Amino acid sequence: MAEALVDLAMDLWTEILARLPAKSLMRFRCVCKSWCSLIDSSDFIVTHLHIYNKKRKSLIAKKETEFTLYSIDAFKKIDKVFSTQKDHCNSYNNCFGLILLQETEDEFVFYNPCIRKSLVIPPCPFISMGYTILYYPGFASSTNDHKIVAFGCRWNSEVSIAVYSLNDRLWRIKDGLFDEAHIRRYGCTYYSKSATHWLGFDQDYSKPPVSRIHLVSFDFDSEEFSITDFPDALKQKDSLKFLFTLGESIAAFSVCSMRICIWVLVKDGGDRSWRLWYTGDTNLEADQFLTRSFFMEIFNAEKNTFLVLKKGKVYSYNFRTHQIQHLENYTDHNSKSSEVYVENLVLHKRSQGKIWTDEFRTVQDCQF
Amino acid sequence: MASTSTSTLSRKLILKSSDGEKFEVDENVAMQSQTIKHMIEDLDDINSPIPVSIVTGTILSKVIEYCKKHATEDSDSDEQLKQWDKEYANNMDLNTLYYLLLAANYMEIKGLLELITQCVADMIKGKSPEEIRAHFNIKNDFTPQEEANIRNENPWAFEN
Repeated sequence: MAEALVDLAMDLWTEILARLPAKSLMRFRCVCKSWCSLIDSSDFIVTHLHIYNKKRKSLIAKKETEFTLYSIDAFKKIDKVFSTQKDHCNSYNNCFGLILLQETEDEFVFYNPCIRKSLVIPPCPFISMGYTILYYPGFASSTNDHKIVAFGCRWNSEVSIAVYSLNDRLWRIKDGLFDEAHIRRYGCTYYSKSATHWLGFDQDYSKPPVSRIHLVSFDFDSEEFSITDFPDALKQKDSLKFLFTLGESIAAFSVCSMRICIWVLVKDGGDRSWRLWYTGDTNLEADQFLTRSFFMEIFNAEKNTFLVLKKGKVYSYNFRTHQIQHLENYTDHNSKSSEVYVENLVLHKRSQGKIWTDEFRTVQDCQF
Repeated sequence: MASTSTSTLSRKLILKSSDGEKFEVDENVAMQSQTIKHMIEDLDDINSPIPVSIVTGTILSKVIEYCKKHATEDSDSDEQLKQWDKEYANNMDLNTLYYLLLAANYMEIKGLLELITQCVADMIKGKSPEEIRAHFNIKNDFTPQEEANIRNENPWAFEN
């Protein structure tokens, strides 16, 4: 039995190892030289990101100084990931496994909790220019590159854009100035494949409020903005409930007169439009459940359910059967959102970084 | 009288293992294998046995068991099929898994390849490097110093 897998070709080993958690892989680097170089290769990091996380998505949530992982199915606590020493430490959205942490006003780190490594990001060039800066992390899937976009706002309502690339380890200022209207944001940001999206609005008060809302997207591949209007059906008063990520696309959920509609943003060449993906009647109980305000809209594609946080409780709601299930209480949490988290091996090789903090300053406090 | 015209839906194919064992299977069962699918396209006479040269009869019968289950799409729910897959894989020892892995790879049966690689991954997930080496007879080609350096890069990964 023992000798059986000996001459297994390396590509089959790749298939097996890509299904292992980061912790096992960090241990198996010392099995032999060929395993180590396989696990360290940039191709493998990408393969692992896609294969391992295909089934095993979890949620990450931050409370004060602690990050915790929850299962996406039942919202059960899986693991306390790590804690930061400073409770004022701001965290931005995590994107493909990297969390952007703001240590001080000008100092950011990319932290990868599953391998406990972090990278100090050099200061954004806009800091020395005195701009007001908004940061959004993202992932460019065409180049498998983690990026940070910084919108630098000047006094005259113009916005400059700088993009940090983890592959290149540097900031680049983009040519051109953009209208400040692009970065006006209402509510959270939402990630889909290669882009971050948010609800934008224009300040033309002659129009009714609902018609002023549109979707703003910043694409991390092309590093460009795009603005998409909502379909008329979503512009009716109170009809749009929330945006969410459906597979690799951004989607909008609406409920109006006991009817649920789900729209998906599709790209056809350069054109972007909303396609009606699902429509169905709801029942009284579900309608009441959905019309009251709630937070946290995470879609579990396997089960056709949404995770919904409402009055300190987490529910799952199936939009096809309208089954509502109370999963957990969420009282130990002060932030309204949890995010989908995936394990990513990026940053695990020390040689990759020009600026390395070998150990994250707070790692010692970690209780795995 | 009952119709005597044969349905083209259930053509039979004969698969022949490396040790000469023959298996008659429905075409849609065999077509789960991309390799066989391509072979049939080039074949003039589908009544002659199709050689599956590197797969033994014992393993081929297991492969066919999997393909049969997955050829009939709507008989089971996804949940039931997953449960069946789990039991199917759990009943194999490592040796059988190895040959199934090679067979799934050679015959290009994506679902089976995923199932087996996941099963092996689950088996080795919690093991130590020493156990992995012993299990798979892998030679440690690091010097003690090199190995210690690699361990020191991620000491937490070696704790329980």
